Amino acid sequence: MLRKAFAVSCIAVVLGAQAWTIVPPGGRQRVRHWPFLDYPMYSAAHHAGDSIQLQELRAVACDRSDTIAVPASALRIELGRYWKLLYDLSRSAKPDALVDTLGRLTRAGTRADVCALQVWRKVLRVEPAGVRVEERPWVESGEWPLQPDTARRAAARRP
Amino acid sequence: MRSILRALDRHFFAPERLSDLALLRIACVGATLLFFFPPLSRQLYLAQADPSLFKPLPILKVLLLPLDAWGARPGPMLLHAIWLGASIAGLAALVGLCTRPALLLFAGGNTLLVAHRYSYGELHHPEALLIIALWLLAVSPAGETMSLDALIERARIARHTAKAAPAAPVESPFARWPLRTVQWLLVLAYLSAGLSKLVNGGLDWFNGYTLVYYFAQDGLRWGVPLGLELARHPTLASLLSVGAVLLELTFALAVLAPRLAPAYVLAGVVMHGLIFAAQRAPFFQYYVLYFAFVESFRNGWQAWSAPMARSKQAASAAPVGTRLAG
Repeated sequence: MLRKAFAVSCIAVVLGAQAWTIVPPGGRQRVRHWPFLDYPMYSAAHHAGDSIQLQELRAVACDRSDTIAVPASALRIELGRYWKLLYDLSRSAKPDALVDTLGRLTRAGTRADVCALQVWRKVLRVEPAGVRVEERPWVESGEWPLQPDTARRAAARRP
Repeated sequence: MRSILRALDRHFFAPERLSDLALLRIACVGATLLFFFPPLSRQLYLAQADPSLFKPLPILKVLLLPLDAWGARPGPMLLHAIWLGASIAGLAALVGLCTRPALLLFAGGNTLLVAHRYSYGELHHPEALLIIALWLLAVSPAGETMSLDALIERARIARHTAKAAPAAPVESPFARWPLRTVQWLLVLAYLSAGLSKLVNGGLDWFNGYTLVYYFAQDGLRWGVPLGLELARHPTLASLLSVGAVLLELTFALAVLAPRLAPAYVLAGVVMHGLIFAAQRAPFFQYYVLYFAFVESFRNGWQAWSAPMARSKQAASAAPVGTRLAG
């Protein structure tokens, strides 16, 4: 009897938690506690004329001689997190904290003397005949100067 | 009310083969060890990430509480120890040695490592149901057959009674509920996916441009030629979107009408295979969870093969003359 009561409790807790996450009772705000998740991925509708944007972070060397592409792997962060950071950076009215974080990660990941960050964007459009992926150009969409890396400069000056 | 409770009791606690549950154990643990176990290199890599990125999931805080302070970030040494301990526990759970504690340790270690991975701002879905399934197996009689524990127990009884070892029990009323719970977890996950599309996208979700958009987006992000090719065909994309949502919304029929389960499972295999081939979204954990439908597959196979065997038998038993005339 005890064994069955335990099994019933397990069923109720597991299925109850999963159902609660998917359809919160009383229209409450959804709270997700991994591993109990809802599955809303790819649920937004799109139409002909919508655009697909790809973003890339680039670092500007202090002597302005070069820009370095900075992929998510160089920052040691997951791809989704990378895109979210770039998205937030492009739209933020006060991006200082984000620029600071990305600057720190970029300097650590590239080991380069970097003085500015840029976000570049490539845009594709959904046409009536689908999406034709011909070569579209990358376009710079913003630049943010970084605070000087005093530690690196001091190390460079040392004999 | 009583009849509903009786039906629920039958649904979750009707006797079921222990081997079906053991098979799910072997599939879940074996596949996790081989394909889905969090790589140690990734764990150590994350342990070096910038501290400002660490946002621990609640379950990570809970699981780490016996080992460290609330909300503490696990260091490389601790992660190494957990990874090693979980690997050993996983091997023991696979062969069924000290199955229950091994499964508990494996589920705990695996949960902790995956939760650690998702404590850096990014969270993915594929592992979630398999992790829950591992916990369910840990509290079920998943090691009562097809395990070293069962062999050792039989040998022990045979030695004490000086008789031939008794056969292990074939069925148990406690073998069905973990399988059913996994089946319903799949139903709820698919239902969530289907309902989200209807609520957020509405009928526009089936216009073809929606899937074309996602095929192109993921095709470009991951460099997948099939995704980019499919992005050129809105009509095909429209048909695929109708099929996907139909499968997601009606997957409950695989549980409620077991005869349909093989068709639903095969459709699920094709759908996840196509999603991976076109969009690199890896939901292969669901392939493992489909082992929860093994009874439906067996019954389906028996129903399909029995008439064929009978007709073969009848043909071979018929007199030669009749056979020639036939």
